[in-house]
Amino acid sequence: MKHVAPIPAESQTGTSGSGTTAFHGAAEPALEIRGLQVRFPSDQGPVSVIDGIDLSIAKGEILGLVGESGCGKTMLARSILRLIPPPGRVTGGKIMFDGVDLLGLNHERMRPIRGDKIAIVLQEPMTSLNPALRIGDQITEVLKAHRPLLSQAERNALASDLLEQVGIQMASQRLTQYPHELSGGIRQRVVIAMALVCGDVRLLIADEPTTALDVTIQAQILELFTRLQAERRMAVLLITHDLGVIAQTAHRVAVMYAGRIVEIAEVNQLFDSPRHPYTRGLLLSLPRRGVGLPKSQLPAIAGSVPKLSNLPSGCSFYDRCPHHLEDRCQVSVPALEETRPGSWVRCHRWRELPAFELPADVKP
Amino acid sequence: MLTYAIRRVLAFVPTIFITLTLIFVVTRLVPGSPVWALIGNQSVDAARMEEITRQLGLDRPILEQYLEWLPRVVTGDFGQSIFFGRPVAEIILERMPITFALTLLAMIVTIAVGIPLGILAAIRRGGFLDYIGNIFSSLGMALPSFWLGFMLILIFAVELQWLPASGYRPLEFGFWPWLSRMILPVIALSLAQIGLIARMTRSTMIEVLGMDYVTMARAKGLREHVVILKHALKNAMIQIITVIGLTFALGLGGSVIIENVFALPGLGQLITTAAIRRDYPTLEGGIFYLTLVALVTNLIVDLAYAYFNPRVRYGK
Repeated sequence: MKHVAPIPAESQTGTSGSGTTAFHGAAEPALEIRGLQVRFPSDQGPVSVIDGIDLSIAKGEILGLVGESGCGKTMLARSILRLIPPPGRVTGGKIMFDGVDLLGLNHERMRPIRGDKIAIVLQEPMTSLNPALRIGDQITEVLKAHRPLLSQAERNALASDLLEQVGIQMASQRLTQYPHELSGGIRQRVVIAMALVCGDVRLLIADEPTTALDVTIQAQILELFTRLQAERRMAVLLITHDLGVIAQTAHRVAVMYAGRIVEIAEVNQLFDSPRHPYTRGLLLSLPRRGVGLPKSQLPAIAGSVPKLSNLPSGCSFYDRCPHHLEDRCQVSVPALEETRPGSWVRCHRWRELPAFELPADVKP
Repeated sequence: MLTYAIRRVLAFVPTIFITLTLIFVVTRLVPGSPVWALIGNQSVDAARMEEITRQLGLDRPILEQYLEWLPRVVTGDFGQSIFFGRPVAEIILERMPITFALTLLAMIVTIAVGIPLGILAAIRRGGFLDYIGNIFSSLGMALPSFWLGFMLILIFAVELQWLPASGYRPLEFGFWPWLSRMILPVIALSLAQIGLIARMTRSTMIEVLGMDYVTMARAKGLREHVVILKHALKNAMIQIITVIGLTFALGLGGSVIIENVFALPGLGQLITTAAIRRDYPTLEGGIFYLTLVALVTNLIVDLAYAYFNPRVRYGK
């Protein structure tokens, strides 16, 4: 199990290539995304689903990525593994992992990284397992692809060992079962086991791993994530639209809006003093504890996510922002600025905005 | 899986009963009488005709004939052929292998060409291969098989003289004499089916390739052929297999025409001539065995379906 295929370092190009903005980088990054651009063709010409994203995840860090549906979170996750569904295409940027730009690798050289160094857990445990194959087969085939020297017996042993690690009882019997014989929570555990079975995973991408589960199971799965992350010192990119999940698990948070990152901060900083009006809106729309408001009064951010094909010319949050200024916000796209060490915000007016106090009864 | 198979076999019983009844009724609904076919051009008097009718048992009430016929037929005994004067079962046993070989070969060709064609078209959607496959399958489905049969004879037998035009040689005469006479009928029979299977495979594969578990398989670092053949195809097969069963039944029907075009003395040809001669026992026996083959195929399809789709096996 100690065998680790070293990643060739030939295409190592320094990480300070595109110095567009000051970089909110992590000290020792497991993954570093610079200026990532993803475009889809459309009738109105190419649409940027991801528009110049800089993001880095430190080794052993859980980075939360929040945003509404359609803001590009999933595309960001997929582009790291080079699995953007056609006709979408990465049109610019770099994704540095282990000294190599993943975007420069062909599929044959990408394959040893997928599932072995970078793994992913998808949102729907119901559909991310193949209904026609036994779960044992689905777990061991990862080993077959990356550890060809192991015997099938060794692979089975590793698989059932991992099922136990993710909290599944009678693991060796489970291996012969089909997905439809398992409950949703167990399935998601199986998917996690499948992602981590290689034991060398440096970055785990979890794309809404708990959204499809009910609340008690959700808590268990999150606990499992934090435990495995701590044990293995993995970097985790945790994608979610649920700030509650972020509050429980993440170390740092990036807030995404319409294909751009609008705010990045440590998790406590973000909840204590959010800078971006969008982040503030997200926090205010969290459900409140105690004497509940009537349902009709659940606060929400006004308006809806703009169409990516028809973004406002300046700040993409312009239409929905309560603080927008015609002369500034509509004219130019704000840059990501550092508000204090480690905290960055993409807003022209962050200095002028009133202080924000999270209502005491909001429970993230 | 075993209990599932047993259940499927038991479901056979009512189907066979209904099939037999339908065969009996339909053959007797056809106007005309075997007596006319028997006497042919000879001039006979009414008394002689009545005698023959009585000999064949056709003078008795139809229900009585049916009640006498059904228990006998269930044991596989369709009686003597009116025209050949030999047991029907014997004649069918001679003819069956020809039809069976024809449809089975056509089936194998259909699967071997249709499924890969569909997969390639799905992977390279909108590409050259997809385009060619589309034309090919549309043509195959649009052209009637008998016309195709004659065209094949014209091109490969008459013009190029590569293959014999028609007829049949049993396997005892050697493999090539047998095969050379099967090639053209098999092509004529399978072309339409290839189109059907290729289209079905293409659309199902496109659907399956968009599923999360296929993305997941790629994200696990599996080789592309493992992703396509193991993860995608195994799921697509669930739907494709149903169409394969259907195609086989169509092929059996098509063989009736093809056997006449290529003068293959198979079951299809036997049925056609028996129908013209109103040879009831032969007609009934022929149709019944053809139906039986279709039913058995359906059973195999059902079992294969359960193999590809584990969710079916545990049904109530």
